[in-house]
Amino acid sequence: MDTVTTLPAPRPQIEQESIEKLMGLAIFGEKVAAKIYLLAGELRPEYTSLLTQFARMEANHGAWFLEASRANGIEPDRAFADRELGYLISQVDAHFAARDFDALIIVQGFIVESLAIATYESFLPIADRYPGTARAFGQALDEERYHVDWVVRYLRLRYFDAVDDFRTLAERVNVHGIDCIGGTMMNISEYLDNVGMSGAYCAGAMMDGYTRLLESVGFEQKDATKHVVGMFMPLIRKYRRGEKTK
Amino acid sequence: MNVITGIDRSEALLWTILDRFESLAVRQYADSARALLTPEKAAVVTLLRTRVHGDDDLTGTPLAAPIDALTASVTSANEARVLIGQGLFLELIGEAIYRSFGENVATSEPTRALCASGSAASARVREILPGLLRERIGTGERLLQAIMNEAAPLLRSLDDLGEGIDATFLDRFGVSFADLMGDVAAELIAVCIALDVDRRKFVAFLTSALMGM
Ligand SMILES: [Fe+2]
Ligand SMILES: [Fe+2]
Repeated sequence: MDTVTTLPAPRPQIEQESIEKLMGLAIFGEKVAAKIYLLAGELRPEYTSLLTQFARMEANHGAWFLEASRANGIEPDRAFADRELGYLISQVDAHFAARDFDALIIVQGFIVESLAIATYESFLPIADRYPGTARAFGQALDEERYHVDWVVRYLRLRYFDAVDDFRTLAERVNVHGIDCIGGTMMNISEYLDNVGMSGAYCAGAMMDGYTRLLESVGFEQKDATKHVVGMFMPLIRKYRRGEKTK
Repeated sequence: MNVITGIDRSEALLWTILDRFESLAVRQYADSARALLTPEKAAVVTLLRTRVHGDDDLTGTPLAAPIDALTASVTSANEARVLIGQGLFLELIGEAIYRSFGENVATSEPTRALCASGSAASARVREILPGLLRERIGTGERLLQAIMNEAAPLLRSLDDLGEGIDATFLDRFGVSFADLMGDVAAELIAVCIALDVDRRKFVAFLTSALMGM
């Protein structure tokens, strides 16, 4: 049989462009995740070795996603990813310059990981449309959860008798962190819809996941919800007006 | 001009909006959910009527159309729509408003008294409602489905309201729509969890509806 005839039908252009943007964001987002863990590790010798290991895991995720993309004829959209990630990188650089380890840990371990977990989880049910991606995203998802578990444990110990200090810190970091990463969530919503996921479901999952993380370190449930919804509402309104957040 | 005596224009507007919510509540509860027609509700309506006589303070403002749309979205002879749209969602929106303005240093004494009365009335509804929802609609997935059907029109109508609330109350009172909605969502989720609604699914529905899906 002629091998050409066995190739799957080309994807509709709208799906192709959407998956290229999403994979671009995932691949280059993993690189940024690796960078953040490395920077955080530089600030605390006692965690350098562990966080370097985390960084290596994030770099692996990016490599697996790139390989899976290539195997599926998906060219990651770097320009799109750069536009989305630029705001994040500038925040990270500012936290690093201020030697603010805990802020870096919240940005990466809570906010970025929440976006990754919400979207990877929702991707898995449709992953069989892109052979090889289920395994890559499944394993990455397990590892993101492992990273978050460590971050929760670290923050609980660090703020064990200082929950008010944690609140102050989280509120400060969230102002730009949620504006940035929640904004990305809104910006990719239509692309998620275009590949057969639900952008709105992912956004809800991210909000709920992030709220639970705040609770796990000492926010009251209502308080955490109020805070997270209050941060997302302006982003949701921009989305409804068709405005991009960056 | 129908500026309500003793309070300024923006507070008069607030009273008129709350009068719209509470008058609709007593009408709908009388028809479809008598258990929610409490003495506290009657008291807040009586207090509102001492100062509000019609819609004049609302008419022509940026909030007129959104308030019309919001109240229309829950107006129904259907019991489930009344319990969920009015008894759950609109009551919690009202309660968030009472809380924000009642604890506000910029509000006058009469408005703070109104907020105390309104909060007490909404709190009473919040106590009674879960039992009613459980008995009349059910819990868990069943209740979630009913919420998805009955609250979607209200949630879709909120977008324009947000604009109007911020334009009218943010500078003067520091009350923002985002903060109000945070408050509403927190209370909603607490009620839903207590009635065995899956939290993740409920938040996803709320987000979708607010995103206009
Ligand atoms: Fe990762
Ligand atoms: Fe991770």
